[in-house]
Amino acid sequence: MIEKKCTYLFLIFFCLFSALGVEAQDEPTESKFKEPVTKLWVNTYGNIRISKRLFWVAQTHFRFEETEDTPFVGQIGQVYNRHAIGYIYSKYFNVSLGGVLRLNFNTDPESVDRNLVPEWRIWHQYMFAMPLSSMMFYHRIRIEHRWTQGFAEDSEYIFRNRWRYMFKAKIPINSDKFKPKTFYISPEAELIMQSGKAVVGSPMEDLRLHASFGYILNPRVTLATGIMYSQGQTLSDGDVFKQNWTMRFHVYFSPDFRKVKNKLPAIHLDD
Amino acid sequence: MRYKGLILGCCLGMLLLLPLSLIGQSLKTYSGPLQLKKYKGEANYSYSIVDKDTILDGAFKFSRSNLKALLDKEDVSFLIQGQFQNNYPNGNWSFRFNEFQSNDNNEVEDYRYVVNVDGIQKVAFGDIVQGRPNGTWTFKIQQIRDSEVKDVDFSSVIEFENGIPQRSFRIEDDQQELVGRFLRNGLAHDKWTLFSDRELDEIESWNFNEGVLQSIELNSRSSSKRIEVYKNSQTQYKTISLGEKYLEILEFYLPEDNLRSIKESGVRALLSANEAHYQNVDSILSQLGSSSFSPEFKVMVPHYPLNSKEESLMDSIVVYYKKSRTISDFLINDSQLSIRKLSDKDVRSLEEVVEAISEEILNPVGEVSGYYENKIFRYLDRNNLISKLWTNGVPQIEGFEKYDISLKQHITEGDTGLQVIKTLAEQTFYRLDAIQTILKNKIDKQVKQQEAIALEKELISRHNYLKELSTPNPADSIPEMFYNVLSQLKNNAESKLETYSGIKNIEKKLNYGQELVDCFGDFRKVGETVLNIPKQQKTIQEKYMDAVWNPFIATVMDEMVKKRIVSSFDNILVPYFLEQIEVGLACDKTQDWIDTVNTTYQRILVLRDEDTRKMERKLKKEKDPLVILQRFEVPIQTNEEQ
Repeated sequence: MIEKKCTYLFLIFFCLFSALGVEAQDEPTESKFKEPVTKLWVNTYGNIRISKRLFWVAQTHFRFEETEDTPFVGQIGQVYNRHAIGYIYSKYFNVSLGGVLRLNFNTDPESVDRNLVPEWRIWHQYMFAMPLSSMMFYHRIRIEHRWTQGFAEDSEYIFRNRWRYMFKAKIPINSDKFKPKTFYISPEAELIMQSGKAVVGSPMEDLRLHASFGYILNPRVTLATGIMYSQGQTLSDGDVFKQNWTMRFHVYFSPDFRKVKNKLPAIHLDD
Repeated sequence: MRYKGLILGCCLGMLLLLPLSLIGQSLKTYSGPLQLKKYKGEANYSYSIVDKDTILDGAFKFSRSNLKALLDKEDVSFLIQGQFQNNYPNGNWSFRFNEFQSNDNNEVEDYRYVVNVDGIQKVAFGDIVQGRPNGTWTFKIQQIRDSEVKDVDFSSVIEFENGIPQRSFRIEDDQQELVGRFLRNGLAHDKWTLFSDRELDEIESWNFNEGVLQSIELNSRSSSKRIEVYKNSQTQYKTISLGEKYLEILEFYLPEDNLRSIKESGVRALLSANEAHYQNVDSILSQLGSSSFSPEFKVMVPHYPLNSKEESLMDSIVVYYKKSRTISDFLINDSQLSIRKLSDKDVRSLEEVVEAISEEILNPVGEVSGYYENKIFRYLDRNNLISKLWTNGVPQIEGFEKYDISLKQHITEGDTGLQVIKTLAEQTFYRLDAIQTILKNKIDKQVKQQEAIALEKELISRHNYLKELSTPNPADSIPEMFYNVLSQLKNNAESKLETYSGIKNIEKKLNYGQELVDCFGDFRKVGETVLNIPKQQKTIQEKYMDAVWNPFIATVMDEMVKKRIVSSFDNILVPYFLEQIEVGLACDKTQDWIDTVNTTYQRILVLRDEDTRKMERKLKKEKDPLVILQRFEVPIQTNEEQ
């Protein structure tokens, strides 16, 4: 069953690839694919319950990039701080709205520009969950309004919108349902499109294909690790595709500091 | 002036009358239902209350009749009329008791129906002075046919003076008639003669001389017989009433061959009947007030006073007799023995001995004892006592050695009659007591054997239940270790059964068996509790599960809370409980064990909702079950075993 679904997923991705390939044939005769860069992401995802319906999203990601000497963990690339307030509509749908402060480090060893520039975002997200048999499927629509600037001393902020859609599955391995001490695998595909004045001929910012392997320590802490392949058009030149191989480590935590008596009636929401 | 005297006279007269009217005012009348012994009817009488006592005074009437009952079937009616004076019957009294049935000869005369009756009428009438008969008293029983006297079944006419019978009397029934006379002091005197309607001459006569019965003559067509009675003038005499006691004294006095004559005597029968009628009237009168209404015929009998030694001998005889009689009645009437003697030769022969003793010794001794208790013993000539009681000599009690009884007393040559009877009574008692012990043991043993059989049946059935309990049931999901423990429990029961079967003494065996029945019952409860533990564990697990929302998976997940409490129960306490059974739970500890298990379970359910942070910290690394139980605040009842 699971195998069959994986095959379908693969087919979908294959078609996407082919479509992109056709698009890239327009002006230049063919796209250029840069050499893949290896990266390492350590992501923490906090989901802190603050009331019956509201939670605080607190994510901090550390992203490293290879250097010539060290693959994956060479140098720090970005430090990511993502916060939001989420609203739980039901067990299977929630929305969030918040801001991001991303610190971009200059990873170009030859650059003489600034070493660190901030990037600001406003983001909102619509998360759908779908149980199917013992598996869970998720659709995530995330829209980001971002203000970025280059490392150059007097570079201006440019504004772009990001349109992200992620499809993800979680499949328990050693249990027939998700419960503490369950291992699961999670294939995921996310397409990130962008728009804005600065975006010319390079709307596909990133396509991320990620497979991870997770372990539910307890209902409040889950650990996962995986490998992600991604590719996308560079902003300056739509013919050029960058490629990444990223090792990812995830820590998911969802503490609930409410008093027991407040917690009890809200657990099941409205299922 | 003339009028003045008249007024004065009137005033004086009124003053004199005043006390009388005051007395008259305290007199009350009663009119309503009354019950006197078996008589129930309507009464009318006057009375006064003195010191809370009812004092009857004046006319008295008590009657009952029921026409409807008479017409339906039969009416039992009565009429009692008379006067009282200061609570004593005084004046003219009449008694009438009827049992009438209506017959078919009815008539209408003028304006009334006349119903004729058949039946019996008993009447008594005469005068009474201070509760005693005075003047002529007549008692009659009449057969009534068609409302007329047809026959007289009984008639008694006696003259009294202040309760003492005087001159002559006449008592008759439908076949014979007794005529006699008294001295002025009421003593029977001269010849009392009985005539029969069928004979010309007298058929029986009792000859008295100033109360002393000299002789009895009995005549029939073919023969006549004269029985001499008290002839010995040297003896001391005493006056008593001519009643049942006197007749008993006579019976004892007369030789065996004349006994029948006195027992079947017509004189005696008429006197007894007469006495019964007087007693009936007396019982009514003494219920109402003070009276002493009896014929009071006086006679004289020889008197043999008892000295203190004789009295104490008699007291002993009575005591031994009563004890012996109780034993012999029990042994002869006991149903178990009666059944047992059919199959057991020893029992049968002992029962025969008891019957013989009862017949040959107890009955005569009982007679003596009865004389003494009825207070006529002092009128009996004790020189003839032994020969009267045992014409063939005193029976000998033998075979004492067989029953290990040593006799304190032996009958010796020089003993007086009373001494002999006392010794005999004592020996008899010991003999019967010994026999009773033997027979009772026999019954007890049989009963105990039956008890043991019933007990063993129960033991086996309880053991089988334990066996059944310890057999794993594939249908349930109870882990094998629980069944293993039950096997141990069953083995424990089996070893106890072995001990039981090894006991020889039936008494001890029964006691131990009873203990085991209770013990196996307790084991059963323990077994059921053991099999319930997995269920309790499951309930605890469920109770300690908390539903937690995992937003990343979008799933509500069960999470165990207060894990230390649950794991202490699962991993330390449950093995500890089971181990207690494995090492051999004592019978008297079963209830404690069950209580500990159940209390622990209940306690853990309660702990779920209590603040247990401190306790959970203390439970960390705690491996001692007793300390854990203490932390859970479960009373530890079995610690002395540890």
